[in-house]
Amino acid sequence: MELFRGFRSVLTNPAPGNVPTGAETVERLINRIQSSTLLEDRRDACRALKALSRKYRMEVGAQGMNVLINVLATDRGDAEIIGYALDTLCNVMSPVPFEEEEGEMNMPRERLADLGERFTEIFIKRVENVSLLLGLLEEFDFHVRWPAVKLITNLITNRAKELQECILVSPMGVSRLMDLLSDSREVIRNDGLLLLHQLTKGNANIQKIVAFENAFDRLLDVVTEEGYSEGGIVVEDCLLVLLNLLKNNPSNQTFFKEGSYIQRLAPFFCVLDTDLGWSAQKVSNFLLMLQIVRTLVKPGNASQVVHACQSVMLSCGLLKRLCSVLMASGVPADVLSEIINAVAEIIWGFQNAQDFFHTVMAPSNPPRHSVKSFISSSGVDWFVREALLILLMSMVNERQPFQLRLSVLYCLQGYLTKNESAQRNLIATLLPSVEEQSENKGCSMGQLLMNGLFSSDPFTNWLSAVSLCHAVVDNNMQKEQLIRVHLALTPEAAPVSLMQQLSAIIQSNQSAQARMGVLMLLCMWLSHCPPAVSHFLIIPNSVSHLIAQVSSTEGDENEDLIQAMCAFLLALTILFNDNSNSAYTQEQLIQLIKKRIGTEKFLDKMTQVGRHESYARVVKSPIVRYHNTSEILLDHSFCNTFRSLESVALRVVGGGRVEEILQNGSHLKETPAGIEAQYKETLMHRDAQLAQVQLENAQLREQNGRLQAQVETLSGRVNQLLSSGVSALHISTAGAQAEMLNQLRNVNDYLQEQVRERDDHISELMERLRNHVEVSGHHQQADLQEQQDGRPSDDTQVLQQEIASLRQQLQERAMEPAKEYLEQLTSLQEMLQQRDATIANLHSQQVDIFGSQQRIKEAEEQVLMLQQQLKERDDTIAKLYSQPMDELSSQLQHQIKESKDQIVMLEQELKERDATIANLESQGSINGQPQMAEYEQKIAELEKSLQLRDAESQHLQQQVGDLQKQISDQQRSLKEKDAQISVKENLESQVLALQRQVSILQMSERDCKATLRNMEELQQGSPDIKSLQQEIGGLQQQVTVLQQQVRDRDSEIETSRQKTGECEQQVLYLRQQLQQQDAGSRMSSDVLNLRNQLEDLDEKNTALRQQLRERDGQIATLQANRPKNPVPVVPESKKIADLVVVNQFQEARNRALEEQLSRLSQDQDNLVELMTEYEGKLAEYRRRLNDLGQEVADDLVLNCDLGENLDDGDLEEEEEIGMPQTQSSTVKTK
Amino acid sequence: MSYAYLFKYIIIGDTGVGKSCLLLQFTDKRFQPVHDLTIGVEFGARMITIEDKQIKLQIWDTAGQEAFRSITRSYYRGAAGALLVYDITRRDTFNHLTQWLDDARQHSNSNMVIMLIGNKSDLESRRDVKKEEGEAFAREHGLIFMETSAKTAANVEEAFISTAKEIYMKLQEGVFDPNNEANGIKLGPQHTQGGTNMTGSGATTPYSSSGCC
Repeated sequence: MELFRGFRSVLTNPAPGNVPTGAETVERLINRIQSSTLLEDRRDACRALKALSRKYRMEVGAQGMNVLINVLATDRGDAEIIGYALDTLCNVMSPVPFEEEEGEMNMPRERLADLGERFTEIFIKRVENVSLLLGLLEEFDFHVRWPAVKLITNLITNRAKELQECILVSPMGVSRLMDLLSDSREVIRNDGLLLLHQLTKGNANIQKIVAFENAFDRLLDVVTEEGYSEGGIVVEDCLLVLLNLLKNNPSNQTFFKEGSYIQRLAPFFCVLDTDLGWSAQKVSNFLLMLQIVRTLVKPGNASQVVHACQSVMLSCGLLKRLCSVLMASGVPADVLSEIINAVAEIIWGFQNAQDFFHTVMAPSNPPRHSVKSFISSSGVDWFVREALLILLMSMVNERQPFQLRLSVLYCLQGYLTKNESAQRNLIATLLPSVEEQSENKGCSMGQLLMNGLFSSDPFTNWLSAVSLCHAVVDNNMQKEQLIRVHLALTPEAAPVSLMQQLSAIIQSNQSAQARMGVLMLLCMWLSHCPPAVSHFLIIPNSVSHLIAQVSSTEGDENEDLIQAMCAFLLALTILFNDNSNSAYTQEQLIQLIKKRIGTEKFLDKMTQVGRHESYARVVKSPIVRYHNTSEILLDHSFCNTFRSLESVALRVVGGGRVEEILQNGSHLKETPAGIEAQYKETLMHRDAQLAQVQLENAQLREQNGRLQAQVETLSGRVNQLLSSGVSALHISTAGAQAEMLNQLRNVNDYLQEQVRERDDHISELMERLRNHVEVSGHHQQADLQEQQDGRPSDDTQVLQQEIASLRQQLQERAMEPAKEYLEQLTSLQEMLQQRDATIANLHSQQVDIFGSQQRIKEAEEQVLMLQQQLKERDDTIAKLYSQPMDELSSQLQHQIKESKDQIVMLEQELKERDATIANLESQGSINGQPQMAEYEQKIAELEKSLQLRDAESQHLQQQVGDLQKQISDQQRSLKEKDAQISVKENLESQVLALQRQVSILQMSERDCKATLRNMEELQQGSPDIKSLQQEIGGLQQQVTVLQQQVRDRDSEIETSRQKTGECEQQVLYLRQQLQQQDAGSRMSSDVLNLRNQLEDLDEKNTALRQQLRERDGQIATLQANRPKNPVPVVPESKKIADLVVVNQFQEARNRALEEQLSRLSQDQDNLVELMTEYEGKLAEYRRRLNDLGQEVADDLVLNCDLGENLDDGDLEEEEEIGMPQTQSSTVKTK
Repeated sequence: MSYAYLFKYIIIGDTGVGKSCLLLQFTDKRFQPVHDLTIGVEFGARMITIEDKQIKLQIWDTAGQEAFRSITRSYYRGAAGALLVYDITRRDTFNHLTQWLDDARQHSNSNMVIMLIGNKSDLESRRDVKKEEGEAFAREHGLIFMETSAKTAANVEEAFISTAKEIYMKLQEGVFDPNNEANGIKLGPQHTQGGTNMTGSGATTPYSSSGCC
């Protein structure tokens, strides 16, 4: 607004010459609209403003917009002024500048152009303004509705997005706009169409609402009314809106199909086979309509929507009509190729439509179709009626427009996609058997393609090669069939296989396009087809040419692509090589690449395919718009194959293991049926697994339940046992003893209680006695008093004294035994307590004894073990010593013997010499002096030699002495060994002593037991108190003795333990020595050698392990890289895994339960055992109790006796103790 | 497939109450447990039979989210029936019913048949709104009421069909004008007299009558 204010200040300056400027006029008019109260005035001003709004657009817009909006809101009653206001606004916001428009001098044309956009921006800033406009659409008056439509159209054109949002917000907006299509005034309807065209651009929500508001019906109604393709621009507008609604809007596509609107499209394609020609409008209508059809069946859409639309198009005759247009004459080439494209997409992968297309025939009267010219030009006058053949002819005809030829290729692809029988039929036309039968030789599909493949036109070559690609894609059987194809290019030449011919093309053809086509065909052919690979490899020069291509570096962009393709082809020969050709096995080919090209370089070359710009263009969609033939290099279906095999090829050549990679990677890319079968198989397998696991699970669960029940019952029983009297049971023997102790204590308590009861009884008795005594005393007194009454008083005094003394005596007498009794009792109690303490002590000692026994046992075991070890050592030592000593001594003796023999021999010789000397002397005395001298010399010599001999013998004797010394040394060492052995024997004896001690301990233990028994006996038989006291004293003595013994024994055990420790140390020392000796004796060279060998082997082993680990790593990476498992299997396997885990868990639980069970049953057994034991003991105790009860009874008797004793002196009292009441009565009667 | 009438339905209600699932169960007889947020509006269709008359139901499943409210309002006017859905396990969805009803009454034609649906009746254990409450609300506002389960398909068919029966009844009574498409009712191809169908006569289409067929 700042800007406009600026303008106004400039413009409002009065111009020279008093002529009002446009701006002034605008201002005046606006003032009038604002201020005038008369409608006419305002209306006139509006009309004038409208007239100025073109020329002075900026001024009107800047100053008048709000005023005009105000008019729209307030003057709704007058259609005329509303119309003017709308028109004015429409001009102000026009997206295109007006001719007469006048801007500032320095204002460029472009600024004017976006003036409308800026005013639009200002206008729609307030959403109410848009609502106001939409409300005005309800006015039926032409002067309101029409400019309102135009104004909204302008707004949308300038600011589509914002306005779409505004309209979406107002609930009735779209339906009001839709009502425009039903307006009887064509102008409004047509402008409404333009509005909708703008409105529905790129907003799915609006598209859906528009469709909901019956747009399809209304638009198709208009198209029908206008006469379909002949209908002019209005039809085009309708189709544009339709296209907007359907493009990229699956929901609307479904609605379109569901609403049976496809059927309503079919009549559109009724075209007269006339020479009237095609108007430009008809062409564009037709093209738009074909686009609508293609939008519904575009291969990229959701497959079920596409399929549904395809079947409707087939069933409602739309395809049939399209085909008849296809065969009609006079159809412009661009329409024709678009029709072919549409047909391609309608039949794409849809068998019924493909079958229908196969039967399409050209009309029987020879059409003046462009195809015919080809037929006649080829010099053969065939009459071909099959649409497919006619199309193929067009494709291989280089004079046809290349767009049309590409469309035919596309159509052929649509026909062959997922159509194995069509593929088979096509390949069959190339095979010898069919060729002979075929009547019109040279005009089968295969033949046409062969002609194209070997024609001189590169694009024809390319098209034919790619056509063959489509004939073998995903169809291994046809790939193998194609190997059988042989052909001769000239009638004279011998037939050569097709593959050989293709190999020749890639080696010799100059055109990159032709070579690309053939290379793609070869790649598609060799992929997943080992027989084709081996056939390719036996062609001479095939591999070497590829290697040469890949290793060459020069070339333009297209040559780069060709080299990359060669690399890919080479990789395929490795990937799908069955190793049948010994010259080119997988390994050899990989080595060849490594040597001749280098793996890195090769891989880099191969990936060039995916990086080529042509690849990026083609990979997105099966059909691409090209501008000229030279751009065409790659095909979409080849790109798919490349994409699926590239990574696998990279890994194979990069040095992976071929079989593995193929297993991992390629099985997923096999035919869909194969995959399906595989999936099904795996699924079935998984199902079986699942069922089995579930079964196992159920079984385990059942088992689990059973075990749990068992556990419960057992634990119940255990509880029962526990609660059935024996509290706090322990299993270990120590525990049992403690328990026993407890038991004894309980019994003791019981006994004490009984004793206490007895005491009570006694005290009661005493009480009674005392009472009795008192009572009887009183009675005696009373009697005495009675007697006194009848006697003189002096007597009575004496008597009274006597009585008193008697009473005292009596009391004393009565009290004395009671006191004694009490004392005795307390002492008894004390004794009993002491006894208890000693018993407890004994028990603990017993426990200690048990512990020491255990320890002794352990020590014994250790000793035994050591003895064993010692024995073993002894054996080894003996062995070690016996062997070398024997040998040495035998050797030495042998040597001694030899030297002795020698000595004997020498002595003999000496004797002989002496004899001869004597002889000679005797002779010499006869023969004379010279001989004597000679002999003497000889003798001297002999003597010298003898001396030498003596020295020798001395030396030998020395040696012998040495040897003897050695022997003595050995013997000494042997003695040492013996000493060691004797030490060991000592140890053994010590051990024996220990054992003896142990036995002594056991004996003492037995003694302990005996004392215990004695104690028990003591408990049992409690004779009179004195003997008890004595016994207790004895027992205490015994106990002290026993304690002493135990203490002694403990110390003995301690010392024996120390000794055993010493022994152990000694043994350890010996062991060390032995080990040293062992080491010394064992370190022979053989051992060293063996050890070296072992080390070598270990090294190898580790190396192998390393390799293994590497392999594992490779496998893991491969598995990781492998494409994901079939989706449905994953959850299954997971489920199975889960179940397995559950099973394992269950099994573990079962095991635990079973363990628990066994433990419990063991416990139970123990308990039962203990129970029986305790029951036995209990019985015993009960017996003892009975005895005690007996005792108590005896005591009672004793008490009675005591009472008797007491009353020895007084018979009356004795009687009274027995029956006091009767006694008193008798006293009274007395 | 020919039909006597075409009825347009809309399904409205809070997000996540199971509108799309109801539609999917009715058109495809399957249940999708994953909540896939509806963007704007989705479309579904099915043929049903009422009194031996084939009736095509064209159902527009709207987005429940507040953000799409203004868009979904555009669908009220052209619908003959509306299924107003709440979730029996979420009381807030029940509490919002008045808001939805006001919205629907404001933007739709006054004759629109509204069916109140308490969905997710299979989740009895998590029920938060009693059936009686739904019935009371329906009685108060003059709606038909039903509890359904898109998961088990319980009452789903019935909900759509009884709504259609109500519309058909109103049609027979003359409340609806079948020729006014703004009501959300359309006559089938054999009923139309304007020649908009494509199979039969070429009387109104001079170019198609001559030749190529």
